[in-house]
Amino acid sequence: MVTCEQATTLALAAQDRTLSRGQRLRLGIHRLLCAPCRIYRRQLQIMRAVGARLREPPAMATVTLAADVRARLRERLRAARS
Amino acid sequence: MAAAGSDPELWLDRHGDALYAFALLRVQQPALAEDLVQDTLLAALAGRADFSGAAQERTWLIGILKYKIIDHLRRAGREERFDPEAADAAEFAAEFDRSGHWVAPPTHRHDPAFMAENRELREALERCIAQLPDPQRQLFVLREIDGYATDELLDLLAISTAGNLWVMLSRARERMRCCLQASWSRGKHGHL
Repeated sequence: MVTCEQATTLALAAQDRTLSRGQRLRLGIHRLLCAPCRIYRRQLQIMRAVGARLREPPAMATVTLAADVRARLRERLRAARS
Repeated sequence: MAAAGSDPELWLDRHGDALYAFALLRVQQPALAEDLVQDTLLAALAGRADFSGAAQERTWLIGILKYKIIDHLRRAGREERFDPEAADAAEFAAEFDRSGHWVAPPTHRHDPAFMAENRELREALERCIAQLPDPQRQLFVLREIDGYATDELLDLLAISTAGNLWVMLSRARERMRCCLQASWSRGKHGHL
């Protein structure tokens, strides 16, 4: 049976590519017997789900342009239009 | 509302902060994020005749900003930056003992759908992203936040070896997971 370290490596790889049948089988068997590695998979799922929520900017601004920066950008826009 | 008919200065008022937040999360440098917002607004001004109005104004501007960010990363990037040997293999290995078992097993309580809606976790994710070293941060954000496929990343960032990309992404992800678990364990809502 694969170790937790090997299972973790496979779980991370599965985020980016399709594992071979053998790899999936070894990972699946390990997870059946290992609660921490089942939790690990859940954490990767949570991270991906939360990441996707950051894909668009939040409706309420979390950071704002400083007033002087905003004024400079406004000037650049005006200059570009004229 | 067609952008072609609207005042470009209103873009700054309506979307300036959102564009800045979007850019800052991805590049982590305020001055650079400001420049990217400026470049985006100027490009939008130059190309506003092409805007059909079918998309939302903000979506259109974010689309231009995404292109500007990728363009910046591509110009700033060099192949050796994506060498996994320069990354933190030892740090990853330290999570396991000699027999390959967890030294500190992961803990959690919540399901992914609930956690995705959790504002505190989103904020923790943003904080942890800011702590990731470059270029792991760029790769993580492009892959996990912006949802680029690994094939696209290889092309966009001119990385020649898929294996290098996978290793870098895995380490970025593991660093993020450790940071999130540490952050969340200190919070009032239990573990990640």
